[in-house]
Amino acid sequence: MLLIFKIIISLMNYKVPSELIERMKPLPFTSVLVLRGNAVSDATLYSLLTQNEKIRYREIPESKKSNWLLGRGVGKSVIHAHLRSFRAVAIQPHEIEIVGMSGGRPTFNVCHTELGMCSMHLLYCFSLSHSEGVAVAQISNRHVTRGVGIDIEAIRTFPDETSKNFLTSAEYHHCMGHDEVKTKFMITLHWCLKEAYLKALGTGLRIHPRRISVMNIDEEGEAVLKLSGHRAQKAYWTMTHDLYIIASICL
Amino acid sequence: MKHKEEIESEVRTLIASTLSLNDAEITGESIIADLSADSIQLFELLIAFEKFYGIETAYEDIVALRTVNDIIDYIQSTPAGTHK
Repeated sequence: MLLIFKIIISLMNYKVPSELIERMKPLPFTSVLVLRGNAVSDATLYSLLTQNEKIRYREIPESKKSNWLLGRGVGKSVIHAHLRSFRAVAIQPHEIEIVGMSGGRPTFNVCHTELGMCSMHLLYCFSLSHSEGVAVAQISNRHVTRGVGIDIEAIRTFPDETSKNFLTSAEYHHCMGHDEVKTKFMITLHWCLKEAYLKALGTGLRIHPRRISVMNIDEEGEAVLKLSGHRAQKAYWTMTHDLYIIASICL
Repeated sequence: MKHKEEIESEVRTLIASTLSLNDAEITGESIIADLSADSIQLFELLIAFEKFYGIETAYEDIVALRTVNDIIDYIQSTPAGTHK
């Protein structure tokens, strides 16, 4: 009895273990959170999983488990915070089940003891990403967007062959026209923007990233992308912890 | 036409080297997206398959495959002559 009481108290006091990205341009009815792996233990993140997620966790390769848990943790945290802010309901992280849909686009179910399992994909758009011990997630109300996509990448050096494969020829030459540090930054930013767009579309890598052109990037955190056959699409980007780039798109 | 065992060995080697994994971490039922650390690694793996097997449509086809076994079956069923 005492144990149950303690669990209830701990859940009532659940705090989202994440940092809100202040510099990301505000989007209506949208929440974005970023979480560092060293801010919360794997055991804590594991305790937030549903039974189905714990079964899924066992299938993940050992070396990928921490990042997978981190993604689930930040995903559940942003959903929890968003529902509390926009619906005034307190759904606890362990009642939220993140699931993959066809094409790899994630969505989530709410597993309520009285209401049963409710799929939320008709009400919300959801996206998450992780990179080298940092994860980020985004949720938006379905009535304001057809899809959201978020991507986080550690600023890194890309093998030249990889860069040439995902950048258009013009982008490649534009990125290479800088010193080494700026080149790394520009190539990572291009990948990040394209990946966020592919996630928002719900296709993932089924559309080749080279079919997307980055038309413009400004220093204020905005960018314009163009997929062949589609109208131009605005995107947002920011840096966090001086090491990572985050790109976000609401269609 | 290559034997299934040969293709299986090639696929596992490509995955292990591209994704920096131990061979023991890769099973036939492993989900490709789970094996990749991030989307860049996944993209690099797709490019590696395309390059190694030289199948023109490999990118669009392979990206739709889910598990290691799916990739092995796809490569085995691709008409002879399209492999390098």
